[in-house]
Amino acid sequence: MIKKLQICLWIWLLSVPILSSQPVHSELPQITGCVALVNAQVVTAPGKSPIVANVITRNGLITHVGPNASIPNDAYRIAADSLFVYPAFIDALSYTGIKEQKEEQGSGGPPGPGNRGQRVTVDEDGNPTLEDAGLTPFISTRTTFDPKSKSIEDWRSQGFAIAHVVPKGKMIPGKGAVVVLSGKSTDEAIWKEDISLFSQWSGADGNYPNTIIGMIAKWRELYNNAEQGMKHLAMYSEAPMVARPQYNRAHQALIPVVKKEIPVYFRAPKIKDIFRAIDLKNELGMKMVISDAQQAWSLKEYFQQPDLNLVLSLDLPEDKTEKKKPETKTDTPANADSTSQVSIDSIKVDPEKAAFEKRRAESHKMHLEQAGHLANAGVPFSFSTMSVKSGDFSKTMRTLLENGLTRDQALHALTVAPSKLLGIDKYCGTIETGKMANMIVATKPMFEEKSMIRYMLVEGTLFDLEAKEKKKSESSASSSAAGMLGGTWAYVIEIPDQKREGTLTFSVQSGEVTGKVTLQEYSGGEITLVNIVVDKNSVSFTFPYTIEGQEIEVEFDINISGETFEGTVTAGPFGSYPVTGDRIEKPD
Amino acid sequence: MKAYILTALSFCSIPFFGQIPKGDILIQNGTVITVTQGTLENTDVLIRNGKIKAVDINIKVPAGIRVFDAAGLYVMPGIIDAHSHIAIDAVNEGTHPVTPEVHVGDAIDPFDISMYRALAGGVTSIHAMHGSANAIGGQCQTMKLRYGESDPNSFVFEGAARTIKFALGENPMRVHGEGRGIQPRTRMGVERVIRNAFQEGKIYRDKWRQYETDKKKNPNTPPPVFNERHQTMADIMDGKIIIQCHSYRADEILMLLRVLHDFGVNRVTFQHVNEGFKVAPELAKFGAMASVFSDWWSYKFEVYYSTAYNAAILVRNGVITSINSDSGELIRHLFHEAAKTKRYGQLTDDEALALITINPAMQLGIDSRVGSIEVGKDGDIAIFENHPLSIYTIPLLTVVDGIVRFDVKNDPKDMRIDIDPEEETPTYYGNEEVEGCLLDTDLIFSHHH
Repeated sequence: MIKKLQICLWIWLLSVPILSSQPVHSELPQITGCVALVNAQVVTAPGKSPIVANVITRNGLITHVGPNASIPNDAYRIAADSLFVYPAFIDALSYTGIKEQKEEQGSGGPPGPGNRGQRVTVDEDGNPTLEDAGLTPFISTRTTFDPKSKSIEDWRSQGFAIAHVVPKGKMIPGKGAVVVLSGKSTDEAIWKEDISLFSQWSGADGNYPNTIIGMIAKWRELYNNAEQGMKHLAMYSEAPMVARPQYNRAHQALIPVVKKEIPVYFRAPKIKDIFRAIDLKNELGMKMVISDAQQAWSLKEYFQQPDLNLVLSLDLPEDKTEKKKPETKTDTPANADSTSQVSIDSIKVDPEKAAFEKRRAESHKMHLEQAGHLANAGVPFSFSTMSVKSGDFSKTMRTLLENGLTRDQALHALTVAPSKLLGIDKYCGTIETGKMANMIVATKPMFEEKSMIRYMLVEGTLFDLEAKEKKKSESSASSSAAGMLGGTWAYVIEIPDQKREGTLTFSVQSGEVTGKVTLQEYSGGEITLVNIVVDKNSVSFTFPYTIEGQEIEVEFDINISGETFEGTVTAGPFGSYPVTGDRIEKPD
Repeated sequence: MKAYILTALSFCSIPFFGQIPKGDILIQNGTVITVTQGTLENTDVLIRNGKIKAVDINIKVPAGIRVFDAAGLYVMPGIIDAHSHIAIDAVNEGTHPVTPEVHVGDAIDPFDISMYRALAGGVTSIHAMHGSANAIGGQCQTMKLRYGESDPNSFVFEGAARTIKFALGENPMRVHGEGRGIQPRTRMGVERVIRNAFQEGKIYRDKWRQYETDKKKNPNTPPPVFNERHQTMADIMDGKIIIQCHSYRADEILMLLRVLHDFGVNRVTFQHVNEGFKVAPELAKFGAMASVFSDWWSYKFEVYYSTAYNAAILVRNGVITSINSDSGELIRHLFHEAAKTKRYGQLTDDEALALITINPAMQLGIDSRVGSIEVGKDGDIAIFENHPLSIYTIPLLTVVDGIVRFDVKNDPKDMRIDIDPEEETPTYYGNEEVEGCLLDTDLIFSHHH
């Protein structure tokens, strides 16, 4: 019997490398539900020095941590001698797993002369429906959550195991949930439901409330009626001869906020947004978490008041100074003497512009130093990911570390702080016996330039990330890419009521794929494609494009099937649209 | 010389229980134009802790106080702009013809550079108004230009009367009737929308009165659904709010007077009121006030006809009148605008200066605090090189609550506070957004006042 088990184990262990190089899924099969990280450098909590230890997990929990923790026979062993283990990150506010919503918007009012566009319905008082007004506190994250969303894998690959996920929408999109980033179904993924209310200063696009003044008035109206409705409801259940309460869905859904059972996560990036949200809190008396904040550095004293917490945005402003440097270089001959270059530049500088530039640079620096500054001032904060791309995460963290945030402070803001904020610190945030088995296994100390996450453990489920990296590099060099992708393609992007057309040209030389795009309405010629990733039949790439003075990144994700393709195009903040294409020219 | 204005968001902490900063200054030997109590030569004005402590000759210099030598200069009360849209981030909630529940005071923009420019024109208080897209717009905010503070609440003129924007004529007709296919489409519709709103306010007030009565008999009486739109209309009828009504034509002005009479409302200031001169006796009889442009009309059909004598005619008929800017540009030289009434109507110096000081203060319910130089009033002062009604005059120093907020001798080129970290050249550098009555409505008009 024992022998048979050993053979099984052998076969299973031997099969691991084969499994891990399979490109289909990077999640390792769960057989015994037991994983052992052997001889790893373990940082059990922010502020702790790494210790060499074994970490054993079983059934989603950490069962042993320590240098002498014995390794069960049935454990899937990871020889972690050269690897670093950290508690996995917790995302304090995100859209991870939320489906993209198609929004149809009118401008309010019934059709009439001068009002020929698509209109939403308004009631006899002229108010739109709660949905059109963006006032949907009764919506739970569940309704728009997709457990198969790529964003879950993307953020997990950056080290996140838990996320506080909220629905997308306008002023009050709905209620948030704590999500475990490993579940295969919505029920498995959602751990705690309706733990928060999400709100932001987003007007209803031409409907009431449209502007900041309308939104604040609406918040007052909803809150006061929720409070009143709550009292009315109590009276109705306790006293005789009380008329049945008829408060609306939005009022009912706000009762937990009025009772201070759940906090309002208020997305408030700029300092004025923060002031307005805090004023609303102080006026109405709710619990609030100022969220996705980019400009909170001068409000330290505000965050000492009760029922007010802080979540900082990982969206850092772009550095506009560095961009300019290559341009000046290309203007001058390659052999130009560097000292003469400096003198030419200094003549050209407009002193007024130079002064503006200096102040802009100071402001930029202030944004980058915010996290370190607040951490040193003792203001607790977590981080939100809702305004950033997963691919920029480690670069952003390095920028924060270069600007005064310590590694321990960063780890604290990504683990212990959000676990307390979300009320799950009993279960996660550190590597301790009895806590959820959420761990990052990395090749180097966290956030170091070449540190890669080798494995992620999310509630004990092991994800092998190296397999994924291999997959990308192998397939992009694949020789079959030339035949599949090479040549010129005509594409059509279907934006409601309009079409955008153009061409894509790909060439493959010694395994490297390059490409260019043309756009019908763009007179600037071809734009070079970047980040081209080919994986079997699916191809993704991006290119920079300027719309109304704003530079955005356009991303194509397409599947090629013979001479045609279909997929989606994401135009920065403008949304995602379907795209189709046909090959019109094969390579020579 | 101490620079009082913090010109960048720094790591310095903004205090949570922030008190409004108050200052001390002694202004010596100026020609003090009190506006209400004559003009005093070689007189000192002492401001302690933000209030005017003394107006006298040879005031003893208190220890450690800043002294400003105003010999040969003119000292007047800080200018008050009764109609402005600066320093707020939202002007029109133009999605409904009746929005009295919104407050522009919720949208104060502490970083609007327009405030510093207004200070550079001697302005110390403004009436930041909702726009004219809706027949009944939002509640307005009287503000002090404490530019340099970061907390929006620091700009609120504490204790000022509540005011609300109404609008007659083309703007609400165009935004809602033409633009959205709902009432009001005509001037008749505007009247109907206003009457309906008052009537609803009345019904709502009755419901609450009934509730208060019923509650005494049965403590389990449920309260009515809370509605700030109707509540605000009730507050107007209860005399708690001063109406500030955008208007041009004489007929529509009389229409509103009739409506207000029917609902028992008597506190109203007409704004723009370009045909006010035609109905000046009626306005005076009602007790209505007027806030006008000095000489601006013909920018759209309903305002094709007016006169530069409008302000003087109104004043001579006993209407409390002010001259306003409604613009981030005109606000910098309201003293010029007031001076035009010397040429068109031969007002006296004090009458002309009252148009931009004590009169707007009365219209905003702040005349016990500002609008003249009197002991006990706020230390809001503007100092000019020449007489403020002279075309050659230059504003030199502007003081709010005893704090120097503008000093021509210490006037840095870049007075922005919040700098966009991604903006290479500021948008105001030759490309400024124009404030106006129809801001935030989607319709684009070449003229919009």
